[in-house]
Amino acid sequence: MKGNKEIVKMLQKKGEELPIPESLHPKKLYPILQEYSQKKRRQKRRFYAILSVAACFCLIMGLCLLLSPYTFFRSEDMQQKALAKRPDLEMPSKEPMELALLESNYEEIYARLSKSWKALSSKQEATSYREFSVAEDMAASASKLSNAEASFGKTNTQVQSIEEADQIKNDGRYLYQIATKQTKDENGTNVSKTGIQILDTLDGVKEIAFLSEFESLEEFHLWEDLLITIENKTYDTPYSSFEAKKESVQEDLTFCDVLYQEQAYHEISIYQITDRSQPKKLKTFTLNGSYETSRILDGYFYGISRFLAKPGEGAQDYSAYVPSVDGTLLEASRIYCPPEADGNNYLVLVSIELANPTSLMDSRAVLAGAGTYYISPQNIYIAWYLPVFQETQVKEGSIKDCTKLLRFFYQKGHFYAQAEGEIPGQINNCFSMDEYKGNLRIVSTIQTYNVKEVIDERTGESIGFDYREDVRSNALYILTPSLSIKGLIEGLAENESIHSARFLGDTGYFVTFRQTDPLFAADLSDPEHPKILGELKVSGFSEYLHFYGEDRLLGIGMEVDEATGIQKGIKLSMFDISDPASLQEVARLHLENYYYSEALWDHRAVLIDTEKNLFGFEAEGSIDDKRRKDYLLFSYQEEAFIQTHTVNTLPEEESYYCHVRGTFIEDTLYLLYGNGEVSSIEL
Amino acid sequence: MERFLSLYQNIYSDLYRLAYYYMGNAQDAEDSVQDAALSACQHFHKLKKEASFRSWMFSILINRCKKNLKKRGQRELTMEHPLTLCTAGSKELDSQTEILELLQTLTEEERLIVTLTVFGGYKSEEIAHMLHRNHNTIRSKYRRALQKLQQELTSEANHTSNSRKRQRKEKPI
Repeated sequence: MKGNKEIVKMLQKKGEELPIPESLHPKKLYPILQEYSQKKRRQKRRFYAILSVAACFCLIMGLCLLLSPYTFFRSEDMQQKALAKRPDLEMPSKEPMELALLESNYEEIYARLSKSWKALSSKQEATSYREFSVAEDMAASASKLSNAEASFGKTNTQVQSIEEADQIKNDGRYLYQIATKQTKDENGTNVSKTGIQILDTLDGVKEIAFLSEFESLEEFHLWEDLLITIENKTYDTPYSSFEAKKESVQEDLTFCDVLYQEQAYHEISIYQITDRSQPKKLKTFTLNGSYETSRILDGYFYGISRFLAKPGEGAQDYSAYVPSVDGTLLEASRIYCPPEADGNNYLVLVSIELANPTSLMDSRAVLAGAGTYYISPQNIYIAWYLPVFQETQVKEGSIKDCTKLLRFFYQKGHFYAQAEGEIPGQINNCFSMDEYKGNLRIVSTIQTYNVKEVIDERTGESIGFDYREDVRSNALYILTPSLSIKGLIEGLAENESIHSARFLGDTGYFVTFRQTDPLFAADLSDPEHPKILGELKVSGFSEYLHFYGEDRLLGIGMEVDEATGIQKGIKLSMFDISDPASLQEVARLHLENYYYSEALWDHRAVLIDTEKNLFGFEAEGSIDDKRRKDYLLFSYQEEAFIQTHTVNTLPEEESYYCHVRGTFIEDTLYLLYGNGEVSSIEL
Repeated sequence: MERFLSLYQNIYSDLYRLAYYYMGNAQDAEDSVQDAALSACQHFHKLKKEASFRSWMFSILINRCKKNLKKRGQRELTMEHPLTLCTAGSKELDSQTEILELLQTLTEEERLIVTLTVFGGYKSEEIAHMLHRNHNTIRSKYRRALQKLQQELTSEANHTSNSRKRQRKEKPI
């Protein structure tokens, strides 16, 4: 790239040296312009004269041809076109601006997809193709002691104003959870039923409804008097086609994954629960593809799902490669194909107006792999990772992996594809992205590779490329609304990876890790010149960061033996961020008996209310080789963690496993067990 | 017309540079700029915002250049020895010729993107709007074009008696 800059400089320099013809100087141009306008008038006169002499139509045509291309008759419409297409010359339109990248018909899309199907079948691509795990949703941003009336546990969301779906919900009186209950049928055999359990906490906890008409519930939303459930399903496939598919699937793709995706569909159902004990189904939307994530904002539901396109019987076999929503194929004009898109996945965006959930409001699809989704109050950011192996441009030398970005502006249930961009590296999860004052801030881990073409010594033929991992580093980027990089800090924490990040106003915090845990604080107040303010090295690393009160940052992660690199159990850290230039760890708690918690990868598993000064999660581990599973509740006082409650959640029957989520109403902690049991503890 | 000329005065050098490096020929560039100025002047009253003058003018120029390139193609004229009609010192001529030759290694579209960026001072988004292309495509094409130029330069530096260069010069005029 350095060379590129030099070329641009060189060209500019040459350009400056270029002699400009005298004839173009305004002074010289003036008489020409005058002459021309007179000439034009004369031409017009001549034109009318010929008409008046009753020249025939052919003659006029002939004259038009005779006129040189300089004539304005011809150039006029061309310039008007130029005028019309310059956006800055147009009247501001009421509709938000959109990228003009929508394909006009299914066949064009088919042609695009064919390329990736072909590429997939070639060995080199196939080995590089991996399903990248969908980075899980989000968690509460800067929850700076705002919820005045909040006296019950809410879903820990990334952005405070945006609802995220979860396994449990709490509205201050009723508790809701996805439960799988074991019951016996009349023959005495065990049957399990999955559904949504609704509990009333008014006079002791009692179940008032169990909506059990589901096969496999993913998660659900609670919005006023509505429950919105999302269920992933698959079509039944006869065994024969199962076998046939097995052969056509590349060995490197997980067979189950492909089959699952091909067969997958999901249902979004809306239930009226004005009477909590009598949920009433209003509508079910069926979409093909598998569910990824969803949000609710201002009464609109926004869902993202993934659809795998198949070659089918050819370009006419639309249903094989065009996603359908609620029974209708998505129009080609609603499918967005980024120019460098590859892979055979679509992401499908749908919206539902919850006040009137009779039909889908808007639906869009974009050709993009599964990604990480960050949803701000205005925008949906989709980020998907491109492994370097797909880069065909570079044959030799050093290359970096990269992440593609797409921004959809959304408003009142409508989506508008507005920008796409790219940053080097891979992002950790949705917390690695944050929108502030219109700019998107991202932290990424960049892996560079040394690429060498491998030549067969005997034949001299190229037999592929050898990718050798080189340096890994971390970077922070600030992107404009058009997703071009405005400011950056690169080359941070060599050979470490980003484990967690959180942004608060003009400051960004992120944790990188290899042997120790540097917590970085970056000043982002000047988006064009971000700079690192401070760096704090402590042992272990944080997987989840949460702003705690005025100027504290809570980190939940793992303790690590610095000498051996062995993980030594869960660790809580409290950082003092009052002066980002000198970060300090003011408290730490090493939970050496616990090795695993859902909280380490799903922020929604963390119950946290900084105003009430409590946070909790379920953790697993062992003491003296005896397995333990406890719900742990903490508070933070006088710069120290206090483990206020430890509730054993290990079921009596060893074989049966269920996860436990906690929530609270006023001063009662409720533990919701996945098998439908509930326990309450006074705080 | 006076208002037009005063706005034009600020940018005509940029216009000419773009046309020159894009078309690879001084005479064609001069003609195109003049044509563009003439038609722009005629339609100047239609321009709603003077702030947009620059981009409006460039749009007109590009259309004009494209048209003239087509016309030149129809007359089966390949790239001439450039600048033969220009009144500059021979040393200057040589170095400009080299640049023109260098730029001729790009495709027409690449050349347009590079010249619009370098001499027009446009961003990829704006070029994308102008050419009705996606801005990422423009960005990657721009990058690729610069890489091409870089390669060309290094290979030329490596072979001082560049055979490829000579070959191009031997093309019939």
